[in-house]
Amino acid sequence: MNIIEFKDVRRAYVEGLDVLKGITFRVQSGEVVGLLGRNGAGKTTLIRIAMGMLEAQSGSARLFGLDPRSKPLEVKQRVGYVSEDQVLPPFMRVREVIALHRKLFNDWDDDTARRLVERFRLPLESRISQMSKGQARQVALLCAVSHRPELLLLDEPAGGLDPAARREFLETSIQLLNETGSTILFSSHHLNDVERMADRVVLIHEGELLLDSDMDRMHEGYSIALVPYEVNGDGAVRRTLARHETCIAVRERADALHAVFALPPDGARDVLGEQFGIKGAHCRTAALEEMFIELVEGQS
Amino acid sequence: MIAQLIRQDPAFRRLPLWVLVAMGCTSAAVTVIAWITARRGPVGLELLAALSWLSIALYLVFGDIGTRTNRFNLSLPVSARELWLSHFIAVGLTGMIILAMSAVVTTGSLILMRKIVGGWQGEPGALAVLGGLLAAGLLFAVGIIHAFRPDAQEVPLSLRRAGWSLVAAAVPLGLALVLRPLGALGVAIVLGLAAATFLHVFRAIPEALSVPTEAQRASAAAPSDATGPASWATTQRPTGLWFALRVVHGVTTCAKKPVAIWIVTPFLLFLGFWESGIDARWISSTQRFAYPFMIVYVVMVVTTLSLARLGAIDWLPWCRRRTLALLVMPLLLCVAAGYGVGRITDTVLGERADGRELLCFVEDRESGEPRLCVLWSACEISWSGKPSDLTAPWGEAHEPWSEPVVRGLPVRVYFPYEVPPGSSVDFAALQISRAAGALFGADIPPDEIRSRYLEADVDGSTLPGTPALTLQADYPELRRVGRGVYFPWIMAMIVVLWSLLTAGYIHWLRAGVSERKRKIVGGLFVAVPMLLWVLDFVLTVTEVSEIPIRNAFIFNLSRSAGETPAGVAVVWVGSALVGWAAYRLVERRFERAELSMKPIGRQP
Repeated sequence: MNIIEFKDVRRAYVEGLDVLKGITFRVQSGEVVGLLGRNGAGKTTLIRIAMGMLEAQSGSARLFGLDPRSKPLEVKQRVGYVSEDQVLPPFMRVREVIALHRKLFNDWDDDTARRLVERFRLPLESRISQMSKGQARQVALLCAVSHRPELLLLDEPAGGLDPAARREFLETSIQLLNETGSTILFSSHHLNDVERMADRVVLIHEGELLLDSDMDRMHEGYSIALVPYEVNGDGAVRRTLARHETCIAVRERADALHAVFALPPDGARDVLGEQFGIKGAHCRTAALEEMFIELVEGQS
Repeated sequence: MIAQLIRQDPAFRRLPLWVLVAMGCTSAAVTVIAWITARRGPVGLELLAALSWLSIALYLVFGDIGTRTNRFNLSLPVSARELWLSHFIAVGLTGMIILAMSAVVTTGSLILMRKIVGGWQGEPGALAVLGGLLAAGLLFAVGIIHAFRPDAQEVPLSLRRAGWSLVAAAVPLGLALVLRPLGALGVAIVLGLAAATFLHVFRAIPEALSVPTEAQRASAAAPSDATGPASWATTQRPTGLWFALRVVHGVTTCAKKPVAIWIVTPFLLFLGFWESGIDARWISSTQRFAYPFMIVYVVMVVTTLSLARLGAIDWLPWCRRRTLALLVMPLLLCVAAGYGVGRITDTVLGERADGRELLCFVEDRESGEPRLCVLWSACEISWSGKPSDLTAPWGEAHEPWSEPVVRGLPVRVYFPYEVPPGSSVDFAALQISRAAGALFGADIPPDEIRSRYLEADVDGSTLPGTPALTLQADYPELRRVGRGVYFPWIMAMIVVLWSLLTAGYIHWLRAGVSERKRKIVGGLFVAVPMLLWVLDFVLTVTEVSEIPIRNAFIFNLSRSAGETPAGVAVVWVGSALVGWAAYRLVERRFERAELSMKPIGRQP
C-alpha cells in the first residue's frame, strides 16, 4: 500500500527558479526511507508539501491516497512530524503541550507518552523556553509518536543535538517503529544514522531525484571506480563515462577520476574493461557517506 | 556598526506594537480630556502630561528594554560599551517615536475637540516646554532603568525590575510637572540629570556583559519530582476554549507569555464602549462613526502580526478555520462587549443627563433668536438638495435650514421641526408638537404647548415662555423612540473592512515572499484604516463635511431602517450576511495560505 506518493512534484519560490523539478517516488507501508541531499536540495520543501504546509505548483502529493492540501486534518491525524525548525509554543509547559496533543489527536496513547516522559526524564512543569534544545526535541518526538502515527515525517529531527542526545532520539524512534510498524520518511545529514535506520534512500540533488535505492542494493549494487589519471588524458574518458547509462556520477579528483556505477564492483570493472578498454581501474563498494559525496559532487 | 545594532535591537524592532499602544493610550487619554472638558471646562497641562505619559510608562515597564544585546552580538569584536550604547540609543529612539506619535494624536484630537467641544485652549509655548520636559524625562528614565544591573546582558522582566522601571517612569514625570514653570531651564535641568545618569551607567558597564548560564536555566527547568505520578495527573487537566485561545494567541506573540491579546483587549473594550455612542451624552457631535477605523486598525495590527506566525502550529491537526476564529473572534467580541457595556451604562444613566431636555426652545447665544433644539438624529435627508418648505395647515410656510453632507454633493440634511425666525406662535407650537411626536411618539396638542410654554412678542413673533419648554420633566412618561439600529451594521462594516484588508494581506503569506517584503506589505495594509481615520479628520478640519451633518445623515438612515420590525430584521440579517460573506473570503484565503515555521521568541 502506498503511504506516500509524489508524482512529478514541482515547486518554485521565485518564478523560474524551481526548487523541486519533478520529483516522483512512492513510499510503501512499513518502509523507512532516508531522504538525502545537500542543503537547499529541496528535502524540507518536499516534506512540507507532504504535510500540506506548502502547495505543489504542479504534479501531486498524496498521503494515504489523500491530498494533504484539501484534506489536511485527515492527513495530519495520521502523521507524526518533527522538524529541526519546528517550534513548540515557547510559553507552554510540557504538561500543557502534552494536553494539547492529547486533545487534538484522536488516537493519543497516554501509556506511550508517559513512558517517554519517564525515559527522557522530562520536567512536566517546565516551559519549553526554559528547556535545552535536546529536551525540547524530545518533547517534540514524544508528541509526534504518542498518537501512534501511521507515518512519521522527520525533517532533520536530530539536527543540532549532541551525539548522545541524537543517539537517544534515534534509538527511541527505532524502538517505536518496531512497536507500531510505522512508515518513516526522514531527512538527515548524519549519514551514519541513515545507514542504521533506513532500508531505502532517496537522494535529491538540485531539485531532481538522483537516486532511489534500497539500502542493500546501495551497498552491493553500486560501486565507485577510481580511474588512474593517465588514462583520462584531456578529459575525453570523463566525458565518455558521464554519458554511459550505468555511470551516474563522475568527477575529477587529485588522485584519480572517480566514477559511480549503478553496478557492483565486478560489473563496473567489466564495463570499464570491455567498453572503454580501461584495465587499471580500482572498483569497490562504499559507505553511504562516501557514496553521497561522490554522487552529488559528480553531477557538476 | 551602531546603526546596524540599533536596527537589530528588539526594542526598536517592536516599534509598530508600541506605536499602536501609544495611539490607543493617547486616544483614551484624549477622550478622558474631552469628557472632563465638556463637564468641567478646560483641563490643566498637568493632566494632559500625565495621560500622555501613560504609553511611555507602559513601554518602560513592558518594552524590550531589559535585553541589552543578544548572545550573537556578544561574540562579535564589539565592546560591551558599544553594545550598551546602541541599545540605549535604540530604546531612547523608540521612546521618542512613541512620544512623537502620542503628541501627533493628542494635537490632532485637540484640534478636533476644539471644533466640536470648543473647550481646550492650550498655549503652543507651554505645550512645547511640556514636550521638551517629557522628551528629556524619557532619556532620564531610560538611564535610570539601565542603572539596574548594568553588567547583565539581559535583565528578564520580574517584579523587582518592573518596580524599578515604574519608579524610573514616575520620577521624570514628577520632575516635568514640578519644573514646568521654569520653562527652558526646567528642560535643561532634566537633560542634565539624564546626562549625569547616562555617564554614571556608562562608566559602570564592564568590559564584558554577563549572560545567564545554561546551568542556571537547566536547574530552573528541572524540578526533581516533575515526572512523578502527581505531575502526570496535571497533563490530564481539561483543555477547553480558554486553553485553545492561549495557544493561538501565545504562538503569535514574541514574548514568553501571550501578551499581545492582553494589550489590545482593553483598547478594543474601550473603543467598543465609545462606539456605542455614549459620548453623545456629553458632546453634541459623537465620534462613534470614526471609531470603526480605529477598531479595524487595532484588529489589523494583531492579524498581520499573528497570521504569519501561526505556522508554528500548522503541523497540528488543527482546523485553520478554527484557528482564524480563535484569533479574530475574541477581538470582535471585545468590541461587542464594550458596545454592550456602553449601551447598559447609557441606559443606567438615564435619558436626561444632568436634567437636560432632549427638546428645548431657547434663545440662540449668538443671534438671540429663539431656536428649537432637537437631537441631530431627528434630521431628515433631502437627496435632491432641495428640502420642501415647512408648512402649517393654515398656509404659513418657511424655508428650512439645510447643510450639504459633503460640500459639492447635492444631498443635504435639514430639520423638519425647525422654528425659523419670524414664525408665528401657532407655527412654533405646531413644530414643537411634531418634534415631540417624532422624538417620543407622544401626541401633545399644539394648543397645550402654546399655552404652557410659549409667549408672543409685541410684533407677533414667538418667544420662549416661562417656564421653559421642559416636556420630559412635565411628562415623566415620555420615552424616546426611533433610536435606530446601529450595532449590526457597524459590526458588519468593521468585519468587511478587516476582511478585505486581511484577504489582500494573506495573498502575501506564501513561501518565497521575504520576511521584509511581507512586513512592508503588512504595514501598508495596516495603514489603510488609519488613513481612513485621518481622512475623516481632514474632512472635518477642512469643513468639507461637518461631523454633526455626517452623523445626522447616518442617524437618519439608521432610524429609518429601525422604524419597523421588518426594517430592523433586514438590517440584522443583511449585516450578518454581508459580514459572514466577507469573513468567508478571509477563511478561504487563509486555508490556502503557506505559513512560515520561522521560530519566534526564545527557543531552546
